Amino acid sequence: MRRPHFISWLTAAILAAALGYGQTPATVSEAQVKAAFLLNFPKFVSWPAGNAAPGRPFVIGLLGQDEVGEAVRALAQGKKLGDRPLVVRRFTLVSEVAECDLLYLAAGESRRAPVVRAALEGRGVLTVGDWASFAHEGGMIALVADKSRIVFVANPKAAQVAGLAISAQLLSLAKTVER
Amino acid sequence: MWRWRALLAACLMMPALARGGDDLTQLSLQDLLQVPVTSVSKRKQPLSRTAAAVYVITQEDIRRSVATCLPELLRMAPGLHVARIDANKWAVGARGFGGRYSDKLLVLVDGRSVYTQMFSGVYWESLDLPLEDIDRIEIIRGPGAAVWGANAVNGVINIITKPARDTRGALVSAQTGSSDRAVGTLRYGGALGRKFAYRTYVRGGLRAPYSNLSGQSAQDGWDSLQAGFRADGQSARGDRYMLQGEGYGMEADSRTVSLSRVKPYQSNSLGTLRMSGASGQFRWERPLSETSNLSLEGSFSGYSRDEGKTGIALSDRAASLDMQHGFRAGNRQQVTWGLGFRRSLSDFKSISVQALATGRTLDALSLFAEDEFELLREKLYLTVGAKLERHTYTGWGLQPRVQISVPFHKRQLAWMSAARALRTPSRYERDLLGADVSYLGEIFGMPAFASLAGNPNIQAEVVDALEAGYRLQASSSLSFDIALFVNRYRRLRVAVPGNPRLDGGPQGAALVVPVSMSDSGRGTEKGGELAVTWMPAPRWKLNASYSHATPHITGGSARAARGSDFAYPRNQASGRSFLDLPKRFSLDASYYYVSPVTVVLADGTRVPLAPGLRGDLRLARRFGNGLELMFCADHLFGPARVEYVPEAFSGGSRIGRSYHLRLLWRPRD
Repeated sequence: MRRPHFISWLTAAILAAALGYGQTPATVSEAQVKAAFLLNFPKFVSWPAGNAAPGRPFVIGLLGQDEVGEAVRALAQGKKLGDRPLVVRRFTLVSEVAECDLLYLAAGESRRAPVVRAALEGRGVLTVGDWASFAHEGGMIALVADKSRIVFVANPKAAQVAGLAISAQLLSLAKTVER
Repeated sequence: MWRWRALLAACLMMPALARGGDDLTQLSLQDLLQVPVTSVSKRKQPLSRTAAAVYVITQEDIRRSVATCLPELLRMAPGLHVARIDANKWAVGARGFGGRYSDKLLVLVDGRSVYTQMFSGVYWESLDLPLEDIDRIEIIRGPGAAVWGANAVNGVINIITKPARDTRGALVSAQTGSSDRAVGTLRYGGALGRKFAYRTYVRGGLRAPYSNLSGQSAQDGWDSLQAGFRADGQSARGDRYMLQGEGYGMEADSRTVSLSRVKPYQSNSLGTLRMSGASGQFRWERPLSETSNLSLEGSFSGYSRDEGKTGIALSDRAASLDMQHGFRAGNRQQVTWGLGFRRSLSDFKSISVQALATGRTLDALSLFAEDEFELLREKLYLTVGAKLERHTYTGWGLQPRVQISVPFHKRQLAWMSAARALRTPSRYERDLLGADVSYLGEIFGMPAFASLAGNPNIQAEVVDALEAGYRLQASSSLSFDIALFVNRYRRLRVAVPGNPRLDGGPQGAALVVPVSMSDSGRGTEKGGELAVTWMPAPRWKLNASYSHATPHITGGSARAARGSDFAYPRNQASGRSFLDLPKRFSLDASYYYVSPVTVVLADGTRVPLAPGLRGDLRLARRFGNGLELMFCADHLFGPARVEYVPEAFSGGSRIGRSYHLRLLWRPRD
């Protein structure tokens, strides 16, 4: 009686493994999750009234090259934020960064962050950085890998100075920089 | 409890994820916080963890440089020496070995080798790419053969162009000035649907001559025209493909020294050099899973070149196919392996010299594998790799490499590597039947010539290199990168003069000193490079670099045969400053120093070259609507100077001050 049971279990296991093999793995890449966060944040942030003329595209700027930027591009394609079409632009120069609504800084850009901050002063641009100390260094939202999850750190004060308001709902999920 | 929630969230999300990454944006922030990810420790840390002497010329460096053509950009990289021979020729060398026919450097454009088998070098004047299309240039000093393959002896220059989706819309670049009379690029890029983008461009230039030592025109002006396209696409299941192609033509005034068995034996003449060519390549990448991917790459290229009055005509065609597979093995290993095949056919015609054996087909087959072990989690990495290659000329050769890298305190990295690399002989080293290369004088009423011949027994040059480096990110505004190396060369190609003989050709008798090539050279070389980046203020960035190399070569008549290979400066230094000014102005300056060198020509003449000093300046203003205007001046201070004396056919020009005005317009989409 035990043996058939065992064989049927084994068959089931092999079958399951064989079927499961060809499918997408249950996990997704770090970059994709970070990109999804990036596209989600604007829903929880309000910009100064002048920044959003009706029909004007919502521009996501990328500074520095990494997989997150690539993923943002792929995810944003053809999408809209409310009635505003999403546009993704890559920047190389700090002097260009003011021409967007949300600026993403790749991890390799930590050195240029102070310059970027100076260039964006009072511009109403939400800054998101891909390194842990970004929000502590005056950035608005830092994406942080924590074991096998991605979490984020918010600095509501930095946002406030730029004329942005981060919603309480987003702050409740974030680790917040102490004032 | 928390775990259960996470598991539940993961289960609920699975169908969404299985339909493709797009649905991730539909998840709420709460759900996103629960998504498990595969690799939290970053596998791709581009520069900070590479255990090699790497320098990257970024888009910003390119945009803020006064350079108007590709080889001029390379001046900013430590460990390279760029000398402009005349308006239309360059000599680019690495770590102690330079020359017009510099043979120890591998140059790739998007992975396609632009190295010609004819002389194991690069015709830089044929690489007149629009600089606006270049994403970055990675310069890997030292042997890169374990990955890149034969000929990456002292360095690899990897030119990477932007993907088509980054160049959508129109671009107009136009410049005029004292050296570049009119150079312009027109580019247009667009997208078809969501997953396919393309661009096409056309670029042309009319360039003025420099002057020679007596202050007259050096007659080295040139015109060029180039056009090309690139397309990038992505399939529904995540495959990426890229297709690109280009064609070019150039015509240059070229001064040549013609040798003849009848009086006046040696004469200078002005001719026209013509070169045209085309190339194309495709790349296909398929992610097999989150941690493994496969890529396939194929390319072809061909050119024909007519050296004007020398009566030499060359043509070269090459095709290659490469496969690469990378995957994670267990938790701590990253394996990459691949196969490659390259076939080149070259032809040589000449009405004056005794030429090469005509058409010849050369094949190279290679297999490489590399394994990166994470010996201590995020603290110690060991990389072991090797390339096995079979070449028509030299048979099988093994090029191994071992590297250790130790990142510590998150901001520092120390690395060491030991590697062996080979350089396969060029066609002219192997197949040259004998050509008069220099006139030595008149003896007993007869002209005497040195005649150079190849050697069909020449084997591959070998370098064993030991390197060590240290990188420090001292603060958010200061970083250092230092690399030291010791190279040992064996079987270096040198020339051995033979006994003079009387040669009674149909055009008249001559005394000929035969010089044959041999692989009996040996040598050692020590050197190092230092690069510093400092941001003293948020809108001000400074770069400085210093390079040193002292090769010591023995065996054969090394100096005479290699001529300008030894025209490599022991010391080089450079400094650059990028300053953002108010009102969208920017002011950039750079300074270069090259120590003096003495060139020994084939006939033993010693030509000292003065130390090089140059200062460049660039003032730019950006306007609305994507318009940028720039005024550039190069050699603003420092004397005009001959940077290089070529081995054969012509003298060098005096490279001096020039100005240009440039307009760059990228209308917003």
